[in-house]
Amino acid sequence: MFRSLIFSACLIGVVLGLTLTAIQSFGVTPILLSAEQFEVAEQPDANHHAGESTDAHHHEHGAQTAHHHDEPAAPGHHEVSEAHEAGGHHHDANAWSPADGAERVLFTALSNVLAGIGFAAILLVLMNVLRERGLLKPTPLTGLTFGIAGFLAIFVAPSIGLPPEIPGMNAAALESRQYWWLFTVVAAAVGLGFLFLAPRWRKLFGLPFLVVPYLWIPAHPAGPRFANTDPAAVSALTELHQQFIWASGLSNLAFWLLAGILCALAVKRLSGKSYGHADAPA
Amino acid sequence: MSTISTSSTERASRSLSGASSLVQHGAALVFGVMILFAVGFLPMSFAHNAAHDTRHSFVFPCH
Repeated sequence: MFRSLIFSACLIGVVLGLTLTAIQSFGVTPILLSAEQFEVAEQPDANHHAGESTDAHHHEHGAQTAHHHDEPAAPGHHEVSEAHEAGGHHHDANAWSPADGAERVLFTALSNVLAGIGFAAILLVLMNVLRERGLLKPTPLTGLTFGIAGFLAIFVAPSIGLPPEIPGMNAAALESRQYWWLFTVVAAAVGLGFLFLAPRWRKLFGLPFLVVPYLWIPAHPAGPRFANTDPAAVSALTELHQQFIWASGLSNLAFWLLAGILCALAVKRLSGKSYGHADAPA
Repeated sequence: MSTISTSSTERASRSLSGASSLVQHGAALVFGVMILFAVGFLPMSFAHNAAHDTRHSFVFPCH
């Protein structure tokens, strides 16, 4: 069973990851690349990334975009890259990062495939356990339901508190957002589990799980929303941010619907197998 | 979510393989969680930079 689950997860993950990479190339990736044009190094007086530990946060887009892009720089860009050279921020410019273009797409595709494998493995385990307990009949329709639940738990629930972000946005400390994200996703999954699966009034047990995460959300620092405070950059970034919420939402929805259907089909196939082999240990 | 009725023989065979099923499902779950941790949460800069666009797409906290 273990081997079959992992094998199915890998196969589904490859399909999901490559599909997501294709979908991203229409919306998500161009927006991320445009937003990086406006990325700035940290200003000593700004409360950008307040409280964030330096070792948890290294990336070099600011440095990279400042030096590699030939397009006309955004207003305010030059002063900022000078600030960077003066050591005014803690981005690790020496860290390896894939070069823009084919290399970056390749690594994104690889990460998408890995994320697809991870999510597929979890979805397959949940569906197969429910099937074994007689709570789920794996069909494309239950797969779609699971896909929607996955979209709600993994994308919608955390996005209510921490909306999708583009590079160059000021945000609360990374670690507190990561813990909040994890807590929210797990709570939403448990809450939706109750709503979908518990009998009658016991569905109500799901409500607290869906509400509690929003009692405390890692606050964004007071001050400007974007690290680049130039008015033209802010209006461009605000527009890009709106587009990104839609682009990431739609690509996540497509990802989860496909994930749900593929996992349901795989679980159906596994269940057919396990009746024949009496669940032989892998 | 629809339910399916199970016969007593199915239930008996399930409880026999219950422990092994738990371990195998648990192992597969850990496998999935570890991969997601690596893609979405590893703080090292090479992991962040390689998976940057994926992290933004899935709305994993990033930056």
